[in-house]
Amino acid sequence: MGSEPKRRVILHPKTALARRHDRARAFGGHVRGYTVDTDDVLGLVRSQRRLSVRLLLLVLIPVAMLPLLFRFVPSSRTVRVVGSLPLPWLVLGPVVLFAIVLIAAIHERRASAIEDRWADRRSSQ
Amino acid sequence: MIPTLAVLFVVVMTVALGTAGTRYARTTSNFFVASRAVNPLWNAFAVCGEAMSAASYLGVPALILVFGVDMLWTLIGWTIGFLLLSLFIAAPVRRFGSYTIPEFIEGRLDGPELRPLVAAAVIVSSWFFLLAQLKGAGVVTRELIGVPYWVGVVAVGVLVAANLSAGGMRGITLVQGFQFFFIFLGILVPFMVLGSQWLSGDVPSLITPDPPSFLSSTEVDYPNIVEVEVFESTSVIIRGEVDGQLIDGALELVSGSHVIEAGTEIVWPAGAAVPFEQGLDRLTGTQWAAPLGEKSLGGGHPLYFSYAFLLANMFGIIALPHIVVRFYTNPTGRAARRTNLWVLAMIAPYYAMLPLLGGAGRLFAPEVLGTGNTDSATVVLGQRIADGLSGELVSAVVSAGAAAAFLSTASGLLIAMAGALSHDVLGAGVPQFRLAVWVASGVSIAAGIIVESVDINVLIGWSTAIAASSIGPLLVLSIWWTGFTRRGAIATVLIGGLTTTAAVLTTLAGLVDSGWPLAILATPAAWSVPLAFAIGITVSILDPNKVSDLGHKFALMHLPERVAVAAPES
Repeated sequence: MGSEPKRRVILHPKTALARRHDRARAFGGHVRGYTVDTDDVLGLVRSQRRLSVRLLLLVLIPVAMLPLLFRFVPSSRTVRVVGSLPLPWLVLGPVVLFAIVLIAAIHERRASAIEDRWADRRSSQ
Repeated sequence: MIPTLAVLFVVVMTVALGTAGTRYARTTSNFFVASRAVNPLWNAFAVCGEAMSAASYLGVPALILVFGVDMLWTLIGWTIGFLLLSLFIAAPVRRFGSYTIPEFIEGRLDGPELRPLVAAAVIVSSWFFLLAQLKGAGVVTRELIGVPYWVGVVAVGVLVAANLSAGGMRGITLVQGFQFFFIFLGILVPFMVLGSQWLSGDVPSLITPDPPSFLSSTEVDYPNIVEVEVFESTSVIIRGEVDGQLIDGALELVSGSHVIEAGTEIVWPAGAAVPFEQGLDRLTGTQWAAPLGEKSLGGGHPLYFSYAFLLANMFGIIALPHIVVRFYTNPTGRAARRTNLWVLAMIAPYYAMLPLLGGAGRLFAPEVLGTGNTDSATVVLGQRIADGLSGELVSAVVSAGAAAAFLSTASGLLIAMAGALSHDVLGAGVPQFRLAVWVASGVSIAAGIIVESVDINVLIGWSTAIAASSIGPLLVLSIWWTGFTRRGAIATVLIGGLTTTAAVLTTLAGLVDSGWPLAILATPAAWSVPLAFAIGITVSILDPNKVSDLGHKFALMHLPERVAVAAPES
């Protein structure tokens, strides 16, 4: 027997990914095997930030209008809608809550797409 | 009997699963972040277990019962808070790869002096939150088995600490996931029973021009001394002490103010107007169901209150250390984001069900308006909505859910506190972690006994306000703004944390009791969050010492994991 078989550490793929990630800090100018170009990274940060802020405003602006609606259109406080439920209970309850879930789902898809496009461009260079 | 058994079952499950985790709990990584290998969906169950706390399970139905539709702003604020976690926090915080929030802030801003400062903010805000859970524990055990309030507080404090020091994060992830199912079921079952009663038209209308009255003859226990306003002379049966007189028998209670001693029982007749604790608004059904109007909310400024509450609860969620720390257990940043989407998808229906419980509480358990103990509404309601065996079963499900709610959240909070205390103050390691767990739990039990008379959501309000105006701006600015500096961060934590704490203490001391001063001090996050952001930004711009190596740090937070897979390992 010439050379001894090399020792190998066997990890669950998820654990391996997590460990590799933690170790990323140790490589001087590299993060996750990518040589850091500050402007390039900040470009990615900017597009994510733009997406997040836009989606937040999409929720916040209509929601912030509601107290004003109740304040200046008194009939909106008591009007009954589906199943004789008063409008405020419907809007401040299920309607707004589920709309927020929808926005989060859109964000999860868009944010991942931004990351994928960014990573694709790096690996094709 | 059945409800008590159900609670015992949840407790036994908690201990069994927590100790099952001991097998794996050897390394620091295991203890603090469950080796970062938790499946996104299971982690979402665990986050839900933490997020569905005594504050929502017991507190929100109670708030809605008392104040009506305006309290839905709490739920909207929390849900937008979870959206903010998706949009701004979850993935970058995970990708940076630390064990605790203080460590993350130190690493991002190169400020070793920031670490104890942020750790202090984490510990103080988690501590108030933990007190609220312990209070829930005391209330529920008293309601169920009639033991004194402190028994539940001590039992839960010790149980959770023992579980955590045995199994660490790994064990608790499993426990919280299971607890989530009990919590959800505990709200879903009464929701469906009430919903079917409502649809079949068996329930009297809630939206009437009258204030609440007893539907049927009701026996009410008064666990604490309370001053109530009786609105019409009522023939009652009393066993105990009222207005300094020992009474055992029938009495005509005249309208006006009365002091009811702790331990008294009063039977109120059907149709009698419900007496109110002094200081609570006596709303008619119509006022209760309509937003704004003449209410004492926000010191008599319900419009301001709506915005203040929205803002406070929104920023409160992103800064809750026990929630943020759970994202560290995900394998990747993308998994952290997916976890949070699952959380939203489960928590939105849960929140959407709570208003019906609050409304039903006003019909079936209106006496809590006059016992000084509104937090027991959910549990009392659980005992009232059905008769016979099915009634016992509904009550069992509700009680088990309540127990799971405060147990899982208390575990999460204790992890966050012990993590900050051991990793950022005492030095990382499993023995330090165990020590920190017992210290944090001991202090909280002692304080938990003292806060018996404080409403759960008042405690939660303080906790979220302090976290929202110190840790919240710190996280958002660190992750998204390259110009944020060490001094800016110090100013943010100090100004945000101290002004809110001062506001909380002023309110607590009762120095203001009405009008705009009360509105401003009782909901401090409305101004303290923008203030903390403004201070952080201004100081950073003026600070000549910028943070170095920004490209590297932002790459760590924002680069997808896929780059690592695509590029060769160096």
